Amino acid sequence: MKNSFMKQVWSFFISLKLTITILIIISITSIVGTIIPQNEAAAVYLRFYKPSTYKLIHLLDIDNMYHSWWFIALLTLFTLNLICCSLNRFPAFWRMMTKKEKDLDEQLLQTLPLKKTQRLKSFDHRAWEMIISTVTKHLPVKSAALSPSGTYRLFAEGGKFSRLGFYITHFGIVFIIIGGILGNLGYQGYMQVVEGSANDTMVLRGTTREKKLDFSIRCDDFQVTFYEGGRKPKDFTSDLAIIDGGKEVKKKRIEVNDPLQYKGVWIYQSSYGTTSGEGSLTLGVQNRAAGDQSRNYQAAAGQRIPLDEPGYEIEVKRFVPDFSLGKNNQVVSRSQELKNPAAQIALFKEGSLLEEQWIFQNFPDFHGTGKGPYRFTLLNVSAKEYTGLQLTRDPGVWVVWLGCFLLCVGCYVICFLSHQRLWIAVEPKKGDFTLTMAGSSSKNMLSFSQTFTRIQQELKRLDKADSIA
Amino acid sequence: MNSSFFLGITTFIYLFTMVLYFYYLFFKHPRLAMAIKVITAVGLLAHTAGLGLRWYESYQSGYGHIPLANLYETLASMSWCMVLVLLIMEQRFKNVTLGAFVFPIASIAMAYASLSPNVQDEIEPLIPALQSNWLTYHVLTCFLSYAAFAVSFGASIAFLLKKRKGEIEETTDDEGTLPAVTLLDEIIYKANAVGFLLLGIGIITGAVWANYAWGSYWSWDPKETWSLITWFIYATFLHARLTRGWRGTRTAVLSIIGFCGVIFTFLGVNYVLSGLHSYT
Repeated sequence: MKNSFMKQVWSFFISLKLTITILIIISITSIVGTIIPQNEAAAVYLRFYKPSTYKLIHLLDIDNMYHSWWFIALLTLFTLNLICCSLNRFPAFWRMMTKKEKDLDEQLLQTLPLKKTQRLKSFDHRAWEMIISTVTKHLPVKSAALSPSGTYRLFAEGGKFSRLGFYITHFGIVFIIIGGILGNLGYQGYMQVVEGSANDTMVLRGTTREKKLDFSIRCDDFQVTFYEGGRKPKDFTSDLAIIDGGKEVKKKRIEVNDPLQYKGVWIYQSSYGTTSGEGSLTLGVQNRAAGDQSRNYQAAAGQRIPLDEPGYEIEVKRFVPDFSLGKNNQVVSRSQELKNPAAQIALFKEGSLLEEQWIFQNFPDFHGTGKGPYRFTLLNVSAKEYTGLQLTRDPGVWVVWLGCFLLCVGCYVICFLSHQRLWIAVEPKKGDFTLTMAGSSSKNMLSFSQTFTRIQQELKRLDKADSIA
Repeated sequence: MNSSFFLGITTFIYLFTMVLYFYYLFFKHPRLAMAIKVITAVGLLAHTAGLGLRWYESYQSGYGHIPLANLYETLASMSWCMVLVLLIMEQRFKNVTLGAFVFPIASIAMAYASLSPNVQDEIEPLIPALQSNWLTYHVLTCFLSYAAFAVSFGASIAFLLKKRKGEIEETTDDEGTLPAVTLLDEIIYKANAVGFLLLGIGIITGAVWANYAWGSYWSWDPKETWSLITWFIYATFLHARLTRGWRGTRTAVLSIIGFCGVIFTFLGVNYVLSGLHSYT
């Protein structure tokens, strides 16, 4: 009873039906994953779905389905299925690889799909040599001998190892999946490095958690070039230096499609921008009533500083590097470059807000809504450009590449190579000779039968050559 | 004369070739077969000249990239692959009827690229992420696989048509214009095998490239996912044929389903879904 139960389990895991069923389920669920957005905030889903639907989506991990427990379970089941199929086929495969081919007899002849006989008036050693050389042109001859009973026997075969294709392909897939799982031991993160400074802490992808590297990355220079007459970036590059143990150990200019690698961590050029936070602004403040010289103040965004006149304070409420008006006239930054730097200044008297206004570095004469006692100008922005780096450590990636390589080789072997076998026997019979030729191919019978016919045609000449002689 | 001129000419030659193929299908005419071959070759030449010129023009406008950067260029390049693979297959299997099923696809793709207002035919610069040799390897292998699948799709349609006429048993070459069922079956298998291998390589080169550009070889973006699904369909085809011994109607239907997957991967994803590949 127990035995038959195990048998049932085994036959479940080795069935092609299971493979096809899993493939179909993986396909359908994957399609769902391409329709329902992945890894978005709850608000995004609530815009499209009812709260109850979203609850269900979230419960079943459909908003992150490719990493959900049930999708991983499907992939695991698929891998088990592949491994079991491979094990199950192994004994037959091993027998096929190691067995010695039988001599061609009536029984074997029955099982072979291609066969032909022809009668020869005479046959001698020279003719036998000719058969061997004819066959060799198409298939490697493995054995050719004259048996004690007076029968000449030949066996030729090629592409025996094509039977390995099945294993190569399926191991390739198993490797890819294992490599993918190993990849979870690594990490992906993002880091900003301000030009001229160094950083060693990244934010892990999809989280707010930070991770410290055991080395730091310094950005010496950041460059961005644009296509002529357009805003489309052509290229952006960062000159990076790796500092490990206080020493500079590696330098490289990275760009998109050309990363840097150090200690198994790949560092990719991902984005760029301008720091607006710490970068300090130089503001010119002129007392309108007094009409005196403008005085300079240094302030950063979010900072409130007192003016020389007692009781007055200014605050930089906001800074944008490339001022523009978006939807509903909201202030947005069109890019992260200092193309149209603007600051929102608030003026306070005795702690209460007097006025707010936007000032622009490129348009110092624009006063906008400012009608208060002071005239503000944005004289200089010392904001620096930063380079956005993506950092990846994936210990499984080479296993994946090995798997991909095996997969390609295996597919090629399966689809285009086949195990071809050919037998020839020449028996003396009542004064003349009977030549029997038979063959089979593990795949691609059509093309093998063409080879078979060609060999047979060439052997037909044997008889003619004979009769002429 | 610029690239648009050549590609426009190509569109008309292909439409004309398609008509010739249809004519040949119904009124078999040995001489016509030769004419079709010549005209197809001329069309492919004009097509090659058009794509080559466009490549050259992109250098003149200061961008300098292989014509695979936007929908117009990808449609033109894909139909180039289709016609090339068709010519090779027809030569190999000594048959000139498959084009009747492949040319409608190739010429509609060309006509859509040239005439549809939705398709911009300006030469655009490549964004930094696309500036890589992997673009060529990845897109070309994918397109060649699509082309092989198109041929197998054509052969599958031919197979089903022939089956409906009741020619179940093997007929020799001279009966009817369509190839014998066994030959069609062989063409379907061979084309799918080639396509399957190329699509596999295409997906892998894409993964290698993505890993090199973004540090992640697989992101489950819609195009990736759909190409994987398409690959699964053809994997099912190969298993059905190689281990279950399926032949004929059932495998023909499978490869038609597979080709629907190809079309959706190529076009549907761009129009219906969005993701990393949204710029192609």
